[in-house]
Amino acid sequence: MVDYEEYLHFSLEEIMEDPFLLSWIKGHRKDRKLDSMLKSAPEFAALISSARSICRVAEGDQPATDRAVIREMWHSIELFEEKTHLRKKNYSFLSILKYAAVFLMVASIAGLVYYRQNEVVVNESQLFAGPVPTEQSKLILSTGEVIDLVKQESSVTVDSKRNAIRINNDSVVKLSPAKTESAASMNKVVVPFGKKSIIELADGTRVWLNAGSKFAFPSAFDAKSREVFLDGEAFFDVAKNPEKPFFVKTHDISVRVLGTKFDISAYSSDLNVVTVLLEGSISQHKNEKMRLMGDETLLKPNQKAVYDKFKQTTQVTEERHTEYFTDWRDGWLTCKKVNLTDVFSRLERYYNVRITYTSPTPSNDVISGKLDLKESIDQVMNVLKDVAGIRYRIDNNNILIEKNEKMPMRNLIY
Amino acid sequence: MIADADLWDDFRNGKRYALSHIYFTHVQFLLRFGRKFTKDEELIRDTIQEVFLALIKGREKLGTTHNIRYYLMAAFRHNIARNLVKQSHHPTLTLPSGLDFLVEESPEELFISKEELTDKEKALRKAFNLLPPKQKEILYYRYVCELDYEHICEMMSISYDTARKMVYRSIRQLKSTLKENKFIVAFLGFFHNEKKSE
Repeated sequence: MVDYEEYLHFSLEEIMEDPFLLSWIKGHRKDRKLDSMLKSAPEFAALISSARSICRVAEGDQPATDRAVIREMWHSIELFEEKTHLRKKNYSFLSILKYAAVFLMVASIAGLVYYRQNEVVVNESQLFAGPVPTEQSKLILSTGEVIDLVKQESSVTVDSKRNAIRINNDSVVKLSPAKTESAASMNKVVVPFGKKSIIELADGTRVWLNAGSKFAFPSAFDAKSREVFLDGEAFFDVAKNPEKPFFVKTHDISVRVLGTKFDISAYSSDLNVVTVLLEGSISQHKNEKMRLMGDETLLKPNQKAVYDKFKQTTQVTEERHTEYFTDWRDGWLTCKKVNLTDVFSRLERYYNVRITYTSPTPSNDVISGKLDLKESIDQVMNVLKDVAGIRYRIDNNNILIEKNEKMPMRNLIY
Repeated sequence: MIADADLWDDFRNGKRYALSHIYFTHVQFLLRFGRKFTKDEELIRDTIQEVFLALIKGREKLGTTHNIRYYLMAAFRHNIARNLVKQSHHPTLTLPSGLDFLVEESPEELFISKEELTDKEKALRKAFNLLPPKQKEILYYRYVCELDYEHICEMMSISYDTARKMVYRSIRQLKSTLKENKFIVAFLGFFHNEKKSE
């Protein structure tokens, strides 16, 4: 039981040691009684304001660090992990024996379990090793040749008849005569934060690649299936071909497609992989060497699958507002009761900015409305400011956000 | 949200997502934390990478934790102290008490709006900067990172009593600044019912 009366006689030193008061001061917890005491007891209010100031002063203010720098640092950490992992695999003989034993066991119960042979030929993480570029989108050919895609919204088209790749609808790159299309001969498009790209594949499939994404594809598909790789977000309009299923492989899950339109967001730095289907049907499964039959998730149109990397489970829900997941292609962000934090993380990618909020994080705030991503970040923030009841300050690539207590949240009018 | 303990266990068990999740969740904070000790951005980045490489190398030997941020902070603080000694060849800078705790200059520009920096806060900021580094550091742990005393003591290698005294003394010093400030004196004119005596 909290004795509120007692608080009125507290000194600053006592306030600064009281966990209950501190969590309220820091905004972790709401307390109406304490709020009203601010009005009725001015001395108490003055002390609380001092306490708040001390917390703020102790923090100091520093700019957030550029996303690109953070990615670059991550890259070398990731490489190190990869190496350590491989080394361990090579040396630990016992565990190989263990795996062999397990494998034999599993193989003997053939019929219940099947082994995926021709999948995951390529190691996705090796394919996408290297940071996302900071300046320009790039096309990296299977030969290693790197081509800058200059434009804000670049386009890459595979012309299988001429065995060439067309860039931004003008320049043409001749490909060396198709060798056997092996895993190693993948072309890559990498798009930095703040940029987009449209890719047309050899089979006519169109892929819209969102900011901060990496995508790998062959110049021509082999006879059995069509396979592409993704780290990031992309919208797919897959050309129909029932004989040759289309596979989108990400680090955690794979999606199998016949012919359809869908969006998949699989950033390696995100906790979830989100797939939203618009037309047709797709099935997805998590990436495992061995997999029970029927361990697949089927999606119908207007359904959303969220794969939780932590729990390793997939949850399917109806999604009436698919626009939110697909409108980015045309430069819109159409929100219908979307978490503010989610909107911020999208804006971060889209504009290559870093959004930092002073606590408390607005994790429960939802907003509705349509943001025009073709406008500058200043204009977008200016709209959001009123909708979300926040104040902000833009400092180069950093945006500091603070809740505007005087202004409640309201919704944009469509 | 994942509980830190579970995420940490996943990392220890070699699940790949866990490392990237830990990294992306805490890296901004560590970069800011680093700037409290040095202005050398490259050194900060190198030190953060060191911390993560050490985690990967020692993955099997790691213990459990309920507070990943604290774990990273402690590791970072240890490493940056060592790296600063290495870099400066400063014989008097001993581990880890010789750390200076910086509070950046020109903080006003970074505030959300300049009006918000009241006279009171400006005065406080000045007073805060004049506190000994260790006191600045402890206030940062206590009121910004919200660490409990147990963790603070462990990180700064001081006893519980010392930690309590340091916080108490710092608040006292900052309070005297607030009183000197005319605006505040007028505002706080009524109240003089402190319970603790000098």
